[in-house]
Amino acid sequence: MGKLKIEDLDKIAESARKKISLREGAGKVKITVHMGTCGIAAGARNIMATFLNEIEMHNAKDIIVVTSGCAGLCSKEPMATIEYENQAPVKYIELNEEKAKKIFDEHVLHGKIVPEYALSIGSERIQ
Amino acid sequence: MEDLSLHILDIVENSIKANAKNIEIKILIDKKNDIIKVTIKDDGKGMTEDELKIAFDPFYTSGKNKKTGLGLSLLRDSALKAEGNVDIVSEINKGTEIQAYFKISHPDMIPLGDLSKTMLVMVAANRDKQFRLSHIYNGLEFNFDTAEFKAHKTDIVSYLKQIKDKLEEYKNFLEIIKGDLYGI
Ligand SMILES: Nc1ncnc2c1ncn2[C@@H]1O[C@H](COP(=O)(O)OP(=O)(O)O)[C@@H](O)[C@H]1O
Ligand code: FES
Ligand SMILES: [Mg+2]
Repeated sequence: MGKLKIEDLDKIAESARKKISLREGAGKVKITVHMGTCGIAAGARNIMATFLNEIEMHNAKDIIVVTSGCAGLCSKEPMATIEYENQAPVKYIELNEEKAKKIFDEHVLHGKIVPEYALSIGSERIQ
Repeated sequence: MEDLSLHILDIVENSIKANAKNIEIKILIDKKNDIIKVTIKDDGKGMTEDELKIAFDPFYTSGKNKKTGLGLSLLRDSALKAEGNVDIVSEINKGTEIQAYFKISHPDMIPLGDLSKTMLVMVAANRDKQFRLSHIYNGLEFNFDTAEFKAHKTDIVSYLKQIKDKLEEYKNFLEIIKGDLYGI
């Protein structure tokens, strides 16, 4: 292979940019609300409804919302997991609408974790 | 579970976990015969005969990292309390149909709850699934079908707007029912 030229570097940078915007198209932040039976009984539906309202209010088009089943932590429900771009997933526990709004404003919109509501910060798998 | 709308959300989560692509919800309220029938039908992976036998067991779940499977058992409790019951028909690789019925006038009948919010949340969080709702009350009928919304061609914000517009109609429909059923 020959020497890299400036144009090649530009091409590489351009293709990297394309990849990023592709990923943005698919969603920059993923919100998972745990909808196991316990979660639902503890109010997970309103947590999801709050996130959906915030998405509409902020016209936040690059967000993916999904539900997941039981997280095996009944007493900590309602729970949600936020995955912001390249950050490790953060699991939030014992949520209410106020907390969900704050998490949306700080973490989902700006990538700033809200440590006081978080269970743990790490790359654990979410069911 | 506090009300029917939360039970429905929970039962639909089972269909989603079973990898269903199409989920059909039917709510039939027949005041004259004093019965509410709720049917949730999916084309998910289904259950084996052995699984079906223990599906209502609160200690049976196919879920990992958990020991209880309360959803179906709680639904049946709610139904039995209102002189109803739950039937399951399921075939492996074909799908599952859950039918719950209740006596409307029974003092222990749980309220309908916020059915429109249940629809919003499950539809918005599962854009890759098709949902159909048919809600029949005496002669009236409300239909909702996500096939109308073209989920793949729109972003989340416009998708939400489409769902919410349609659900405004549903809210009006539900107001009429509640007024007529409970005289509010
Ligand atoms: N729609 C369905 N399709 C396939 N399997 C189902 C369905 N609904 C329930 N099941 C099976 O029945 C089990 C018990 O369901 P449920 O009482 O809701 O508890 P849980 O969902 O917490 O496991 C599930 O773990 C699953 O194996
Ligand atoms: S159903 Fe109880 S922790 Fe998941
Ligand atoms: Mg369940």
